[in-house]
Amino acid sequence: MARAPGRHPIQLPCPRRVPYLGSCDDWLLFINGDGDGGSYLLLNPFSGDTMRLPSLSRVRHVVGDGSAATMATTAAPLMGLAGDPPETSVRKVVTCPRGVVAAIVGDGRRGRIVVCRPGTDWWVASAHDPWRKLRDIASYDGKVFAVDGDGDLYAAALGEDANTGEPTALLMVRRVLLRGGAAIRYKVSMADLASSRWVEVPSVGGDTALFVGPWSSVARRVSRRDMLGNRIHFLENTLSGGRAGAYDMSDGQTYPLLPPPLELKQHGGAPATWLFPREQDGALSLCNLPADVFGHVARRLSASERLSLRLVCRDCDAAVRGQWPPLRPPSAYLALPDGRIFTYPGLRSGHFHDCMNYRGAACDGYLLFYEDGGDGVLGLLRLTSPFTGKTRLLPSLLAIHARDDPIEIDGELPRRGTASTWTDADEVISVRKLVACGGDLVAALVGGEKYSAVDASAGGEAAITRVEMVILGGYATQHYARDVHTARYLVTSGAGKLLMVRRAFPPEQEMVTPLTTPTPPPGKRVAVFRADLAASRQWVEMSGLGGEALFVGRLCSGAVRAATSSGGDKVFFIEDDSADTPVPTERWRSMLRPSSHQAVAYDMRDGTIADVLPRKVYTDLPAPPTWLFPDRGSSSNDECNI
Amino acid sequence: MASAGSGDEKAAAAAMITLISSDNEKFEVTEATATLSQTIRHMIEDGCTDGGVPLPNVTSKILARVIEYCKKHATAAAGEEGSSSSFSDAAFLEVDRAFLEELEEFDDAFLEVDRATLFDLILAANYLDIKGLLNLTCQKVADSVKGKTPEQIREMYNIVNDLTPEEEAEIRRETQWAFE
Repeated sequence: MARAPGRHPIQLPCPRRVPYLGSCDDWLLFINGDGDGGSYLLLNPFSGDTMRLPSLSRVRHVVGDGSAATMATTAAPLMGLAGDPPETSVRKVVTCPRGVVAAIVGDGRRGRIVVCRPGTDWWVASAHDPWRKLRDIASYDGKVFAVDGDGDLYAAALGEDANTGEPTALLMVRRVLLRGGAAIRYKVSMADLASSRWVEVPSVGGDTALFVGPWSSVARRVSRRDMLGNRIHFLENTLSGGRAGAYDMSDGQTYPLLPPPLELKQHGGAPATWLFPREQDGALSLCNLPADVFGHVARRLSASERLSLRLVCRDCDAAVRGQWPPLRPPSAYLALPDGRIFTYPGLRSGHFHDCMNYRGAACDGYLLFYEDGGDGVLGLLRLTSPFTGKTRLLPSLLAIHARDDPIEIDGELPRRGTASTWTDADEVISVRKLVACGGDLVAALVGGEKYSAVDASAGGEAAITRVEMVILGGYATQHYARDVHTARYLVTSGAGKLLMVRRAFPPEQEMVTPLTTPTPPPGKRVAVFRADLAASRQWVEMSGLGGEALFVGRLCSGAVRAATSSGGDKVFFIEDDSADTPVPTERWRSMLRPSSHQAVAYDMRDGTIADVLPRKVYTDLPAPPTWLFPDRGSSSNDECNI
Repeated sequence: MASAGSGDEKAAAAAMITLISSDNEKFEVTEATATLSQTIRHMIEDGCTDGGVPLPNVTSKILARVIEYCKKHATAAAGEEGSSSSFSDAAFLEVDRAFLEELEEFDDAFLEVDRATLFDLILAANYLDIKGLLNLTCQKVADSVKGKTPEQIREMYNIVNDLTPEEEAEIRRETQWAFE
């Protein structure tokens, strides 16, 4: 028994210890050993089904007028006619439509066709059908065809045909042994029943492979089975043993069928044989329907049913995608603390229950959660991606390890208030912002109400080795800025530049006395600067973003290249009604007052601001909405559909 | 007024079409039956049906089934047309309902085929452009998938799952967004 194309041996439950005689389709043929007068048993090792075939001592000979002449004796278990071979056995069995089984019976030299229905007591043979040198039979087009040693083909009518969707042509494969017997060639002929000729075919087709053997032969489409086409897989049994190979009709070469440790060995006279499990009789499968027809079917399904279809196999997935191409990947996702996540653009939403109550966002696709460990460990930080479900744990903020190693501090760091240490008991420290720094390194801005510090955390020992003030922000000294709250966001552009987005919020009194306090011109309420680290060590204001769009927020910011020119040069903010508190504090958070949020798009070209969400989002949860960019790692260069 | 039946017979006697299956079997059908197929209708309109219409994509086994369907539905269509003038509205509705019920029963019985035949019927309906038959058969396949898990669909259609876990996750991720 061999299996192609996977070629892994499998152990099938085969309850019979006696060797099988032969096979047909997915059945193994045994002599029924329980004293049943030499009847036969077909046993399906895949399903465990059995079919009993009559003993060859019970053959009815049907004469021309349809009346049956029963000729059988137990003493002479032959065909009961003069000239019978001294010993007959079943040489080959084929299953036919309507549950009929046909067989060649005879000795090694001569044979004739008998048919029966499994479970009945009699084989039926035509009384007029003489012994011939039959070599093989096949069920084709509702008839049983038999070929003799000279290539003569005989047809025995049976009934209706079977339609398995597999290639339907009657083929004859002949092995040509060249002189010396070393090389093998196979010739394939197709029966042209109209002209009563065999027509040699140079190929069986790139989509078809033949499996031939003394007991069971079949043609199979290869496209769905990961096999090479135009090949003849053969099994031969000689007295000295078995031989197997795959003959390629394209190049005339024979390739090994089995890896060396699985060479065929003959056991107790039982030949190797093909079995063709029924499930491989794959009629044209669902996903192989022509695209337009598949569309007719898939259109009748709901979106969730089409998802099930996509998850069936690659072909099905491709077929559904052919009809329902996936939307362009969103540029960014907008996560709300109640667990909802929106795509932008498109504003399709999904609800992720395990994403409620996040405290922060980081590393593009991750949300930050505070978690208490089971055994009294407090303040664990957990990063979880709502998109992949992946989780990374960060050390607790209670376990901040202050390094004593001196680090180089270049330039003057702004200091406000008095120096403080991490051990201040009354200080509630929280994570304000996290960024992934490549590798496994995560940097966090942590702090309480008054102080903040940069902390880097990683699996190994990570350290901040140098702090340098690279740009002295002088822009804020403009006269109008004194009473203006500003929010500043750092974001890396797609081109690798470090950008700062500054958003100025006019003071409250602006509404009351608009003329007394100078306010920035509307266009200047948002400004984008580029860090010129090399030359001037200045923030350089930019007039445009070169077709990029920036998504900025307290928790996570990113730059995306827009696919359309109109989508570029925009800055997307997340606004809330507490916008005058530029840095949220734990105390502010603990107030848990409902706040309303809106995502807005600022167009750098005309200075206009437009709402992104159809309505404001109200939430009393501790963190504001945030942008997420889960796909940036894999497809940072993809243009996005803004 | 000529009854619908005799008119139909006259038309049938006037125009028989020969359809030839891929295995060279010939089927004689009325034009009314044949023209349920838009493909054949166009061929008739183009006058290229002399000597029979070869249908190299359809086996005799499938063509016989297709013709069975077309005959029934062509008769139903002719019956509806003919009866409308000779019955009162109420009686017509009664007849109409009986027709539809009978047709539905016929369709249900017609679909009692193995899967290979069903797929062949779909391909034939598509090739011959028989809308009713295509809808009927495609609905049957769609119904067979409805409410099934991917694994159940694989089992039903003997499909091997060749998706990697990553690809499966990707598909799920792509489709987890509800449309609002």
